[in-house]
Amino acid sequence: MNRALSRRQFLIGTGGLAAAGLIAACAMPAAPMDEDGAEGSGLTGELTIDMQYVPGKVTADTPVALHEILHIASEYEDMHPGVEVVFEEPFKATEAMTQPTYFRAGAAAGTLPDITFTYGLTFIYDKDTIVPTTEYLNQPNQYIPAGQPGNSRWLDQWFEDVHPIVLADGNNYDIPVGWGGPGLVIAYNKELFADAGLSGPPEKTYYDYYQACQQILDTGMIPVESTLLSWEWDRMVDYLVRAMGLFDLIDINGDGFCSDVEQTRATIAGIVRLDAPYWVEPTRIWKEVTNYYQPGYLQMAQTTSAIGYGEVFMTEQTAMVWNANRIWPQLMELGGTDKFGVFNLPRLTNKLTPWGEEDPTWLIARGTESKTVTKTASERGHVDLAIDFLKFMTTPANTERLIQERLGTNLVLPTIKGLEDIEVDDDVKGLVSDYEAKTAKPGFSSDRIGDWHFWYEWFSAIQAYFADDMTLEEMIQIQIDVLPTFIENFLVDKELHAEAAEWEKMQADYTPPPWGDYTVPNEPFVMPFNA
Amino acid sequence: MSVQTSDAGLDSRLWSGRRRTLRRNLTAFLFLLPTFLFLAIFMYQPTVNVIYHTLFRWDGFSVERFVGFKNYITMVNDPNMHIATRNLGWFFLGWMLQRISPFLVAELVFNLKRERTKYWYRTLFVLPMVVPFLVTIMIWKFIYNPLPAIGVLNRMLGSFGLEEWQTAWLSEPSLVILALLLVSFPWISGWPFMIFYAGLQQIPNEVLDASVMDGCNVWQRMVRIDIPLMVTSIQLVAIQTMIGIIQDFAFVLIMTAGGPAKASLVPGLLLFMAAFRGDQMGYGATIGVTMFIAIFILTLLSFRYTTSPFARTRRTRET
Repeated sequence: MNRALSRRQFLIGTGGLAAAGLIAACAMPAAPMDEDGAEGSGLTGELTIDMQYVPGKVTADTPVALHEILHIASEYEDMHPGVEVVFEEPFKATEAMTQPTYFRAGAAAGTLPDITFTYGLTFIYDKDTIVPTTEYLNQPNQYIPAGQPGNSRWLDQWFEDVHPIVLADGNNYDIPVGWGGPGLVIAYNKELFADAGLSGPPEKTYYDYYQACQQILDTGMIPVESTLLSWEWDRMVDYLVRAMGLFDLIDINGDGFCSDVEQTRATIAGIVRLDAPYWVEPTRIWKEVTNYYQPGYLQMAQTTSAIGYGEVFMTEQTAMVWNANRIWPQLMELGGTDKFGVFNLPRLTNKLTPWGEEDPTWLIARGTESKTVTKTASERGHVDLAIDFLKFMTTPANTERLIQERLGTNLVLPTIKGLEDIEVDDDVKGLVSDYEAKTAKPGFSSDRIGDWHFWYEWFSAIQAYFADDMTLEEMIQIQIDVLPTFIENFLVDKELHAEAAEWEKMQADYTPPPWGDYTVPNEPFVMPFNA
Repeated sequence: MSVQTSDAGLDSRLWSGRRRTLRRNLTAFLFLLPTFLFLAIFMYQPTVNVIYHTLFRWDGFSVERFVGFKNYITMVNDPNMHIATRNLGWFFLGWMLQRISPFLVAELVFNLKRERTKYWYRTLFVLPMVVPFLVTIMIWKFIYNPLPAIGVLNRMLGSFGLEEWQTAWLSEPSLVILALLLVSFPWISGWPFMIFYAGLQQIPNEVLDASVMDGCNVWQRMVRIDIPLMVTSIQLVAIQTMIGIIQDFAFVLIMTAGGPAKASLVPGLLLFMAAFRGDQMGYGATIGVTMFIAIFILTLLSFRYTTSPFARTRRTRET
């Protein structure tokens, strides 16, 4: 019999079968769990995470593809068969300042991964979007062998100066990765150095670095390609803030991190002052230093710095370039380590300015890739899973693997205990040996105070000062004039007016600043070796 | 009573006619509907939204705070806005001259005797339109590079023995606007040339013949006949240029980012920085709305005070 089904019969038939299947599926006993999963932590699910880089890929600021985190994730998945770690494309930006916008947009749209990286947590300080980590940091880290720091309390694995950030409410909100460093290096052309009579990179202070610049300039070459990005100035400020003993006054919760709230508080209390030597002297020095820069450095503005950066150095018109990480792949193609070397950002000592220390401790940035558990993890019930993965990822053993693959292309300094013996010492890799993790300290990081408006005014005033359109005194006054507007906006945005009233009272208790009757000098700075 | 009945009948006929028209045009309306919907969603709604947000302090994500006209007051008192407006004035003058200058070229080409030569010149002058402006900007960044090994301009000056003229063109606050205005020299940009050329072609042959009979030379013809009869074309180029100058900041952003020392800052760039660097959406919206009002007023003024003789003649005939 060959009788065709009518449409009605077909629909009734398939609908009935589907319903029967559904009922049968519901009535069946649950499928047995994977044996390992049942015995393991019970953690299951798809954990989403983004790194500062794209794992396994070469990108503009990741000269060599970094694979190790993929292997670590794979091992974690093997230990927890119900877990899948998914790496998402990271936030793409040339500036850390734009990350808060990305973060807040992602939080508002619900598109953040369970774990995301952050450059500077305080910029995105919003309790609704991030998960406090204090409770977890005080728990044992079962992935660390017994008897080692961190096994009984996870927090203990970090050196004290680079503990996770404590924010204004006394809570930790992030998990730093196990290394730090400015993330910036200066590259030099070995042939041009030899032509200038320099046998190798300068010693490890600004004084030595500038002396090398002068030596190169005297031979008729342009010493360095740089922009008005503030790294050079910023580092000098960091050293002077430490040298004047102000860091601990600013960092009132003692977590080794001067957050934006702490810096604003210190400004209101009169501790942070823009007419102080630590702010003014680096600016004076910097103007003199621009004699070593390529002509036209003023046009390299903040927003366009990525375009054409390094072309002057790569065409051998300067002997050095700042932020060599960005052009490392090109340098490898143009001659590699036979032709180019790198050295770490120098230290500021009292040989350059009397406000500096004789032998200052190396200052480091915190972990450049701090991890934050987001509200996405809370909403998906993945907080425990996210924390567990971070515990696994940040163990000394895994951190060492993550550091090892970065050596040679980036500055890395272990910030957790147990990695002091990492062997990192040759022309390129030797950067790490400059540091002693136990004594290196975090910097003040002046960019945590001020908003875009403040920094735009600062940047424009610097340009006018360097172009001799403005005196140093006028320039500093502009910055001082803009600061109250920033503070007012900051207090409104963070709803901190009540606290600010208390901070103002602190002014009366505050010991007079250690710089006495210092006034902003208008006479130009002269390099000591040229005086 | 009878009047009312008559009115009711009239109304009824009128509505019936309208319904018929609607039915007849229904298909056309339906086809147009998606366009209007997209326009409403993506053009008009954001515009209204922007105006609304000028009254708020808002970072784009958090809850907005009503501040009334505070953003407008801040903008009026903002020294950066004063600097940006002053710079815009210089750009306005410079670019207006730039965009009007192709008129002379169009005039020259139009007066060529051989059609074939005209054709080749037309092609030559319109061809630059195919080069994206971004590419032009990048080329000029190279031209202005202060290092003679890279920068064409400084290398040329050096080869002419004018080393003392070599400078960092985009780094000198006193030179930067001039340097930006010189970009694309000799400014024979395609579309003003095409508009001017089309305008010249529209001048009646009788008028041109009469000018020849009256013994006009080329200069007299240009000043007395061509320019007055091409006011509409010049107006179109001027309005487009004006809108472009006020709105466009990408050029400045890429070349100098408004620097050095704010010497090339323009309101559009200030808007961009406030809204997208500083998360001050309310303030950025305020600058945007003010720019819109300025463009609107300037466009009205240009229509009010520049009228083609053709239009005047038409009006005279109508009255």
